[in-house]
Amino acid sequence: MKALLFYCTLLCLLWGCGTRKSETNKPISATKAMKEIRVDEQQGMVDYREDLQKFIITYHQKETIDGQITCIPAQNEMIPRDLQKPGIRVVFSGLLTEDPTLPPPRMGGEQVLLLKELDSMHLYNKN
Amino acid sequence: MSEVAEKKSTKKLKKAEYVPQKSTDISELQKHLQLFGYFNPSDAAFGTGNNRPPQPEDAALESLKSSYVEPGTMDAATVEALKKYQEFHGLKITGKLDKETLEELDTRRCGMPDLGEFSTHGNKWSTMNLTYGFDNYTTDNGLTQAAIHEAIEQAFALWAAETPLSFRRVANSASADIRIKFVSGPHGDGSSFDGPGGVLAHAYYPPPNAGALAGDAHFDEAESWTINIPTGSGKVDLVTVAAHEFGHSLGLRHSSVNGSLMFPSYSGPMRYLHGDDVAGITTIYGGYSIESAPWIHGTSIQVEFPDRLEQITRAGFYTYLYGKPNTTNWFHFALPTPVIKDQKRLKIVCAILRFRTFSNKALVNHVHIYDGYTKIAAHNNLNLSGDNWFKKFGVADKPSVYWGLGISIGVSFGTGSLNERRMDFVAAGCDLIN
Repeated sequence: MKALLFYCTLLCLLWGCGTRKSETNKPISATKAMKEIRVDEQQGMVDYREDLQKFIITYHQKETIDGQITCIPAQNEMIPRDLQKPGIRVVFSGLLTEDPTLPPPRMGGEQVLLLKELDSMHLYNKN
Repeated sequence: MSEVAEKKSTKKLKKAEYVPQKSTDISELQKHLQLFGYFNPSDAAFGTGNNRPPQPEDAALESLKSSYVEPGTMDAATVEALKKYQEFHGLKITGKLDKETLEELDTRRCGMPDLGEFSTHGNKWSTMNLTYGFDNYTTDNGLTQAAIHEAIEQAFALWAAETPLSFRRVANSASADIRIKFVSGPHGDGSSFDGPGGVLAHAYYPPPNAGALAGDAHFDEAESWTINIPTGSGKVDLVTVAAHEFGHSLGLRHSSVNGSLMFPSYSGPMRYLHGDDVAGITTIYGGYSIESAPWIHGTSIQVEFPDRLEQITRAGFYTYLYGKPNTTNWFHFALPTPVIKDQKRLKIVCAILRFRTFSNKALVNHVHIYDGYTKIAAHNNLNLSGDNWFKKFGVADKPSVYWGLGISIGVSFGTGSLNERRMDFVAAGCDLIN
């Protein structure tokens, strides 16, 4: 009986360890690990990053001297062709996430985020 | 243990609690306290209210003592800073370099000041002698090239006064470390400006970063730039924003300390560094090693227009000056300057003034620094009032000194009671390096 109890306990411990090990091996969801920002009808500007060979969208962090969010699209084609003009003002909605593969900020006050999803984008009326 | 032996043991323990204070130990302590933000590096105060009564002489003296740090000595300023450290770390607040405090100091630190909230980018310049140049200029609000040169130099001088860095203007901006330009909208760097309001300017971190753009500072031409204070509605102070941007050019990120120059928001002119800014920049580049620090007594002050003073009194180490209502004046100090030491010509880092005013009806507006008859630095439109017991005015390019230093102080007196129009000068000095 004692031996049975011992082996049962041992099995439980091993099973528990095994379970924990498999849990730690479970891949972490990318959206849970990274910060996400959903923007809605955000005013911004399109520009062209020569170093990335990509059109990007930037927008100003209000009430700062130089705070800027630089949104790099996951795919170049996300930005409509007729809006691919440096300096053009736009309004856009979508999902931004942190991405460690993106280049680091170049300027003081800059945050660089991935434009993971672009729900809508149109010309800002007062251009 | 016998009673005698026990007493001896207790006596020995009490002696061991306090470590002998060698001057080298104290100097190391002072460096540590300075690095981690426990000293008040400057005592700027803007505005003291209309009717602040004058400080009693002994309180003023104590204030003076507490703001001056004598290297290698447990002076009042060091004791106060040590007490702050002890309080922050939950130690007994003794102001003494005791065993528990030493053990805490010996604990490995991450290098981030306890009291500072600054943030560094990680990059730093590999040279201390930086150059800057202008791709172009703005003509906003009547600004001339000469005025812009002076304003930008004033901005760089703030950082020069606290570090080994020097900043020299070059004519060919293409060869400069920091290129300055006024542009609007898209301007070729992938970060367009957005018109009036919004982003005011931006600056690139030091190399290796952003290739040829590293360190460069761009100002939005769509803003209305000015060097006048008050700026007026809708206008932006060029000196303040430039000083903020140059903080980024040197490797600082934004600070969470509201009131620091590196705080993200612009809330009007701010032509000085906060303690947090100093902690941040000295974390990256360190301080400078003083070769000579000549000072002159406040009683040596020269008044350019004595007839514009209602009263002048010299007492103790003060000169008390009472300006007539609605007047301006210039006060001058001639510093006895050792131009050569150990066969090497010395260079100027900064001038330092110790003064106070009793209301914002008595203002220090300009501080100009001369070597002989050549003006080598101009700090303009300062609007300083209140207690300024250790106010530094940097010289951006840290030139060699040839003929002896002079400090000229432009002041103004408004309307108000006699005491409101009072300004006291204690001393003037400078820091010289090799």
